[in-house]
Amino acid sequence: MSDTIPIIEASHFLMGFGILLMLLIGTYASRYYQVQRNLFYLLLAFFTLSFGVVIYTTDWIYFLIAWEGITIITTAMILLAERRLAAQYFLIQFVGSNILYFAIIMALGEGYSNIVPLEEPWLQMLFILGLGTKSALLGLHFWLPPVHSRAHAPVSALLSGWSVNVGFVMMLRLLPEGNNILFFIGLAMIFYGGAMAFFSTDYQVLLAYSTLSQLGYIALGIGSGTLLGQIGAVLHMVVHGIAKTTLFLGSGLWEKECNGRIIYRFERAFYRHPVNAVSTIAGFSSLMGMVFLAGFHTKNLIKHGTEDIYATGFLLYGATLITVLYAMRFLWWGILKDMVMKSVQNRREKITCTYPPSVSEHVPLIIGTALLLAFGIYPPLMYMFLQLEDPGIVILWWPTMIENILFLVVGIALLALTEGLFFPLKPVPSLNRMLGLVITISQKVSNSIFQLLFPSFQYQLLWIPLIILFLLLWTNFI
Amino acid sequence: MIFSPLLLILLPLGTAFLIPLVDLFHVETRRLMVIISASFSLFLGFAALWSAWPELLAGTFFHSYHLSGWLPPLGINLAFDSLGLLFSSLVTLFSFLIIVYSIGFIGHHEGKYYVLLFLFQAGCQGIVMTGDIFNLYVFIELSAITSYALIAFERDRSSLEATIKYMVYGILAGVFIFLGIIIIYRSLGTLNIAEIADNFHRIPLTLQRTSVVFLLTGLLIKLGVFPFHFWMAKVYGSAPASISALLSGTLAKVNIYILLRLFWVGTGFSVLREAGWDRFLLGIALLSTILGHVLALREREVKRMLAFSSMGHMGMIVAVLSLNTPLGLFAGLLHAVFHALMKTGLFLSAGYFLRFREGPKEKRFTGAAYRKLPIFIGFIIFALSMIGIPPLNGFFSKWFTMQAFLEKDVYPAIALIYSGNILGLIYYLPFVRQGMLGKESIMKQKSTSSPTPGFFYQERFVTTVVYILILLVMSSGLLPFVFQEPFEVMIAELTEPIRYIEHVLGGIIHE
Repeated sequence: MSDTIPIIEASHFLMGFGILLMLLIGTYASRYYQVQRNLFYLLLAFFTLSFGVVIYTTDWIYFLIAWEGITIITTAMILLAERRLAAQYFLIQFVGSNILYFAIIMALGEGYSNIVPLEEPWLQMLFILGLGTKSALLGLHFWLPPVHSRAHAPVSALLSGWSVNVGFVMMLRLLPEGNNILFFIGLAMIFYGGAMAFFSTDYQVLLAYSTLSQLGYIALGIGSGTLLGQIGAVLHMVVHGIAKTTLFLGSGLWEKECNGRIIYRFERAFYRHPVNAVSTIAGFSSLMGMVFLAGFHTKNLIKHGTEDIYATGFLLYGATLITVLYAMRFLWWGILKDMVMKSVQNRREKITCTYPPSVSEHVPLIIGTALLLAFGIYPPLMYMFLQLEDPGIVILWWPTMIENILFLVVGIALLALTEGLFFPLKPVPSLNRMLGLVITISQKVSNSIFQLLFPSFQYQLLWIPLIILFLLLWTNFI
Repeated sequence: MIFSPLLLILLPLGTAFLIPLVDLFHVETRRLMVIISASFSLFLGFAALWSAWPELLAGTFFHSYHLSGWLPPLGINLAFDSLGLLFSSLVTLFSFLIIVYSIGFIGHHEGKYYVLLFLFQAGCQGIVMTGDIFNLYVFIELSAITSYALIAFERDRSSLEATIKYMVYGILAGVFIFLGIIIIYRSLGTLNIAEIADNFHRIPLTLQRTSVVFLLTGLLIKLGVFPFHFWMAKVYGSAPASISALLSGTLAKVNIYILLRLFWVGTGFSVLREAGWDRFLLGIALLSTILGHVLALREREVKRMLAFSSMGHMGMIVAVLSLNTPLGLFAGLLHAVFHALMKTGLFLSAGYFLRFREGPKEKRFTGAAYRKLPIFIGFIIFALSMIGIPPLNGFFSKWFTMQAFLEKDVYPAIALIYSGNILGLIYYLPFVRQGMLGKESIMKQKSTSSPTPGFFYQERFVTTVVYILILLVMSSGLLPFVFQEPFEVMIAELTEPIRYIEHVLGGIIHE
């Protein structure tokens, strides 16, 4: 087996599952978007096309065109929900793209006429910065919770499940040897995202922070530069993509059924939407890395690939605990609480569903759950799709199962002792204040420069003799 | 070439003189004449380009016309080389588009307006074709004087103020250019550009530099580079949108042509370089780039914002040209062409909303998206192109510009372009937002467009022109490499002025 992951096969793998996810989102959206359905499908098709170009091309210009294509398409999708949010998202992504332009110009200056692995550490850093804006690396992630929580559910599913991967695929191609800074950023992301998700009270904000935490694993795998880490990262992109798509699509149903996304107000959710509840449980279990679900294997791969580096193996136990805690907390408040607490008679009461899901909304959830289970129970399936032989990690099932059970017990004990870890409601994060400040400051600066530079007319004209004199005497100055 | 290049000047000039005559008898005929003359002029421009294309690619394109058969250096001559052809095509194209646009746009005193517009076109064509420096001055003044009147065309307080300001600057610029020409004529006894280029080194150094300083100052005033940018916002903000588009899209590019013709061919760039003025030029051009973008942030009126953005982009073009490398010249020429397309599009699409709406000027842009969505989307496309989103054309010219700066290690310039992009987004966003507000009030409001007698609705002319520009911006973004070969020929002409001299003087070259 070679030292680095075969990138072409990985691209085929990602592209294949990308198309599958687009189909799932498209199926779901057929009921969600009743007015702008065709527009949404068009955008989805263009998104898939741009994604394909980004991961396959070796030409910088095509890459940039497709990259900006993704920015514009996702902006247009957010525009379906909210104008101001779309503008804010575009502004932030555009700043990132400009860093990327700069990085590419610098790479061209260094003689990289095609997309090939980079040698210079400073160039690698520039690319991590530029790509990181779209992939929400820690420090550049601030747009992610507001956007994911306020965009429509299918759009959030697309952004969180798939769009964030684009940057990581590029990082994999540019940094096959890994990068220490990316590694540490990934480690920090896992803990930061997990902690923020733990304290969230809004379901979609929780999911957004959970995305941040899971992207940390991908960054970790790529940053490590080991083969196992990279395979784990690629597989985790897909597995996390499936899980997050399922969860976000489900969140759209919860939102309509429960009139909001506050997790304390999910009443008798299981009885109202049983399919959705099962897929939600499966999605979160995969994120937690429970056995028999796909996340278990991908996280194990990343763990094996990185455990020798700076005691990461040990830290990752803590990371799993955090994931278990935020997932359990949501599952308790959202789904399990009513099943456990309500009396038998109460349970038998007739359930009236305010928003019965249609078949087109159930199908993506079922397929997503089935895929997570299939990959979890028979992992060689993933390697088969990746056209890679089994990396041959010996996974001891019993100890890991016991480990899983231990984590669950800790989670349940904590929930029981603290009465479900209730935190007061928090406002949904917003970008308005930050960007409002940027715009106000820029206008103030502009105004003061204007006042400084635009004196009365006669003084404006004084510049002319000054410049002529200056030019005539210029040769004496130099 | 299949016809004399003189026709490209004579046709608009002749139309301008005929319009008042025809207007006396029959207004409808005048309207028809305007369209026919503009279309014929466009046809001539394209025929010239079409027939010259093979020669252009081979690098042998050159046409001269000797007035009354007097040969240079004695007679006045037109010297039409590939650089001239490029800018002449630009002038033809934009003049045609703006004349068609104006049919639906102006709506009062049309006779006078078209006289001025055609004179302006003749002036610009003259500038890019003449091989005589005094003729150049005459044509500069012709275009300047007509533009004074055109800017004041709205006849309100602000446009009169703007015109007076522009006139003071324009006349001063003219005086300086004239002074420079006088010094050269006094020293060399010739006005032919090729002859000047051949002999410029014979002038004593002090006089050389004095003449260059006067010419340069005059041109910088015309280009609106810092610290001579004060007239720009006022003029572009108060003139009718079609005229603002003409000034920023066409006249500014013609001024770039004069800059190239005078300092790369006429005096030779070495004069600038030896005196160190190329660095000065780079410095102030970069300063005006950043100032233009920063000052645009405060503007709440769309045309004033576009004016400051123009200042930024013109600064960038001058900066990258002043590097005097083949890549720099290529990037500068490309951005000049693309900027003309984008800025004309922006002014014309904004002008549409300002013209066919009622109410105070600052509020007319509100609800633009509901007034006419395709035009508003066009506005957004032009703006996206301006801030360099691939695959629109602005991206490519900026791409080459950055490479040119990188080649010369001018890193601050690269940083300035990026900050210009981001600032650009920040100052375009409020207008996009404003355009999406106030749906209800728009729906109630009626269009102020009325049918032009004998033709279809006024609005139709205006929208068609904007659609054409959208197509041009998008297609030139998809095919930026079409420009590569012809531009390389032009750059060779600029870097080796001896070719121009040989073409004009036909081998009579002094030591």
